[in-house]
Amino acid sequence: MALPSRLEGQDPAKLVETSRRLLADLQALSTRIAAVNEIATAINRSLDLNRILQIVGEQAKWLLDFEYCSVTLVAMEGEGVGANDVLLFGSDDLAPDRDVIERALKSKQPQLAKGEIEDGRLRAQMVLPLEAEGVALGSINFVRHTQKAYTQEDLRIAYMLALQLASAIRNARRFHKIEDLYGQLEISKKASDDLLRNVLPESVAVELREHGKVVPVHYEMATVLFTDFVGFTPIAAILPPEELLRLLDDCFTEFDHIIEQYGLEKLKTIGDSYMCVAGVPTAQATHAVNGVRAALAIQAYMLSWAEKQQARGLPTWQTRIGLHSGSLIAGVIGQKRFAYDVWGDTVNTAARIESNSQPDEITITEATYQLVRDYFVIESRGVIDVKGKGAMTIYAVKGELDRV
Amino acid sequence: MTQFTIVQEDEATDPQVQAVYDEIKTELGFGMVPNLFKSMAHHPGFLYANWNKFRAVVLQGSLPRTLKEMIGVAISQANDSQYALNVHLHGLSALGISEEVLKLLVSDFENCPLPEREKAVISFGLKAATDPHGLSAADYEGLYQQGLSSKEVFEILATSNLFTGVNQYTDAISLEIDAL
Repeated sequence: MALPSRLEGQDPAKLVETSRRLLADLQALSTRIAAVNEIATAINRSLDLNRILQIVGEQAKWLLDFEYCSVTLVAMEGEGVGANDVLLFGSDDLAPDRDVIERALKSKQPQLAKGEIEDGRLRAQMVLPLEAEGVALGSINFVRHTQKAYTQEDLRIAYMLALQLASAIRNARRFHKIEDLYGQLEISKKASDDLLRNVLPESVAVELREHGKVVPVHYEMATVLFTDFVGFTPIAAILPPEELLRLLDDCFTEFDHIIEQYGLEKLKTIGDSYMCVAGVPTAQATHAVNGVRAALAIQAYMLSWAEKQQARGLPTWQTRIGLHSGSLIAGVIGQKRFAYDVWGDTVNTAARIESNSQPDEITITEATYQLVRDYFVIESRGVIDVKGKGAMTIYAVKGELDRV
Repeated sequence: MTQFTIVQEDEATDPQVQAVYDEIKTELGFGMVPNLFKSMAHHPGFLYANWNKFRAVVLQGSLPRTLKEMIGVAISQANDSQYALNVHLHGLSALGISEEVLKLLVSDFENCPLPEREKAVISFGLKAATDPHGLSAADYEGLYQQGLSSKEVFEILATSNLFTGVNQYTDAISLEIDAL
């Protein structure tokens, strides 16, 4: 009971005076804590580092006395080395001693330092590390000209601010990083979407992306078109591979343009053979006509290509084109290297018809003929025996019918 | 006894009054409407204007709310305005401030344990309220020297003006202190 007896010995008036002062101290501290809370709330509302520092620059002056305030930010990983000072209040001629900042960053302990006497006044410095999850992100630095150095109370208030600021900076940096990653993700997603769209028809790519799979679709009527080159193999034997591929690429690139123009869907190339289809994935009433028109355009292109090649004394080949119309199934199979493809007897028949075609001719079956006969000049090529199918009537398309 | 009756929340029929009461309950942070505003409901336009002034000065702006409340307490002490002092007291207990430190500010400025800048701001606000003629260019210059912006200085003046008006009003009608 030492303390009460000592208090009892005191002059009551003095005791009241002392109590008042203690109460005032407590209230002052409590005010400063309330102000720290206000700043903490404000800086934690922002995820923008510049805005956070701006708020500290405006508000920290209500917590502490200083004539200079800055934040030193240690460079993040991948940002090079060194530290960057951001002046928040006052002017740079009052900047704290570098070694005080270094000490704070290294020890992760707040540093109180008395600077040299300037103009008869003491230059007091206080540097607090900004530490989040054991990492020193930087420091917050205060300097003032004063008769009194910074007190332990000042240090506690500044420390509370430093804790809040450190976590706000960490959050802002994380947010920035996440935003960067989202940006990169968007870019790669777009690249993968572009790739998917290149490999699959648009509607199929959308279905695959949204549902993770593509439901096979049965088409009652579509027209399958095959081409291949006659005389390709002997040329392949003599031309350097790069040269051969360049020629093939020239031809097929043009085919891509042509069939796109007529609304056909490219399926694949197999060696020197090109395969496409009219009427999928979007059903078309005019699939057979579109298919034959694309065939005529391909034929015309290949004839003029061959002429140019010959004129330059370069090797050429001839083109066989075959079309057949009927039902088929279209879809995507497999989990890797997605490819849109068609299946069914119609596809096999189209391939057989193409291989039975004459060089530089467009051969169609009875089924296709019935759909296009009103639009083209067509000659019968009689009946042939098609492997697995038996006797089939075939026709050669000679050109568009001139309808006046 | 209050000279004008208090219009309770469930008695308010004027849509403008109801709308202001709702805003006060959400924004002031006490979940209730203080008598200060309830007494103004007889004049919805006055209530609307005063609430919006209070909101602009105390709840918005760039000076910390704590500091503006302290200016208010200092002025209310000087005016011996009981309503304002008591409303502050319960508002302040939430914000963590009280009177003793401000009494010391007036009686012993040097030894008042607040940061220098805060003491200067509160003294300036107090002078603007109680001795507006005495406010000199040097007083303004003193704040600018301490690093305040003109926007912040204006906010101090607005705070003084608000609390002076509130004190005059609540004292004139002998407004009853809120039952909590």
